[in-house]
Amino acid sequence: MPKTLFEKIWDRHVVRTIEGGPSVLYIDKHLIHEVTSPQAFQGLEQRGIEVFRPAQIVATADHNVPTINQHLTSNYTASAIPIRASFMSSDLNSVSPSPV
Amino acid sequence: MTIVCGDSHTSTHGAFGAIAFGIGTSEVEMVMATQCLLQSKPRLMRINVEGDLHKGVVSKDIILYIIAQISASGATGYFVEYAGSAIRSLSMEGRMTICNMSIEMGARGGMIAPDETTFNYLKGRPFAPQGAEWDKKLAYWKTLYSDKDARFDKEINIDASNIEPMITYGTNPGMGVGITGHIPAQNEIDEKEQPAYMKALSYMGLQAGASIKGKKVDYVFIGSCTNSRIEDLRLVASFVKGRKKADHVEVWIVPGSKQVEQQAIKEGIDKVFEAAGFHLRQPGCSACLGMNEDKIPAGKYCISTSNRNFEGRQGPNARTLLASPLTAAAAAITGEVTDIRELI
Repeated sequence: MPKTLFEKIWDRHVVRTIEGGPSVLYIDKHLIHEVTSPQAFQGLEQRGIEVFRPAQIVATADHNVPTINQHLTSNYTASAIPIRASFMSSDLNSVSPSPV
Repeated sequence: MTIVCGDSHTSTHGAFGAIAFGIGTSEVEMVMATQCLLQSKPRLMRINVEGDLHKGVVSKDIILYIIAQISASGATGYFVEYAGSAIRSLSMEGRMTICNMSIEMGARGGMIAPDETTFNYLKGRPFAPQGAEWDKKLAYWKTLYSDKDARFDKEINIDASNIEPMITYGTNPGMGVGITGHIPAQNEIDEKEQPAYMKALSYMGLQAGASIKGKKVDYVFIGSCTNSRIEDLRLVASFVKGRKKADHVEVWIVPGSKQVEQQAIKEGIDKVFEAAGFHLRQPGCSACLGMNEDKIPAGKYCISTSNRNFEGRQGPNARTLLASPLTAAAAAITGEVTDIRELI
């Protein structure tokens, strides 16, 4: 049966399909950043769950960062809080950091 | 490949033929815990853009044109594949711009089948497979296209020759027109949508029925995940070389990554910007969403290469006009919304 580009990739990544419902889709690469990730780490911590495959995650701080004097972190204290909170988390020790 | 991130513009990676889309924070947690995501299969749409682009028209204009045609909710519930000769002719950077803005018409994501342009871009890059692994991957990638008789839930055909340099006048990315067009008059809008329409124009300080060309701008922002790649910076530099910005305009150029920043400096693009009176800043999301200090002051007009013109997006009461890097650069020089075709 002919398939679309989307279907070719989707079908290879379906781990399980719930009858009449959604599928469990395998994710090859997970990108995280300083704004929407801290809460997720907190959730894992509260439930005592570890990051399953840290090697599949690439972390970048970009949403809050200043665009002048980036080496002077004290200049953006308010922005630095979530960046520190997410990237100093012990769960992230084996996540690959990436320059912006 | 499947890629997710807690950022809707993750769809950018669809340019490489990946299924890439943004997820919510609870889903970020789900992926961290299981490397899987519970997802319903979206409906599929194909948008074919055929023909040649006019001079001064770039990939950003294609996607702004598509969104203006089908509206900011025109692809809700769909995953979009872009195809056609105009899409095939784009560089990877141009394809990323297109896929990036898929979500601005409500789509879950957008993608483009990989081809020689994709393979040439990837070969030899850091993290790209090498040697025998490259050959194996390449053979697989070459199978990634929609089969001839593949079925889409919806297909849309666009004639590339109808596309002008685009600009938005409203508070969602679907509220855009060709640069020589006019802001729709009230009676051109569906009656039940008129109150929201007039509210948007009031926020923007613009008149229904007026021309958008010639509108004075205060800020120019060239950056964001939509248009901050080295190709965008080269395009802007090639146009502004030997020109100077208008006195009243503040121009911020924010590269998308350290790599782009370093490349721009290596090529002397920073000097071109400096001579024109532009500021080349350091990489980050910056004034696209004003989460850092880079905010547009209340009431000011910013012609921006970013992806969203929502109320308050670039700062409280800031007014955003979305456009291509070329159209933004033209406005930086003249100080007003300008048809780039008159300057090149």
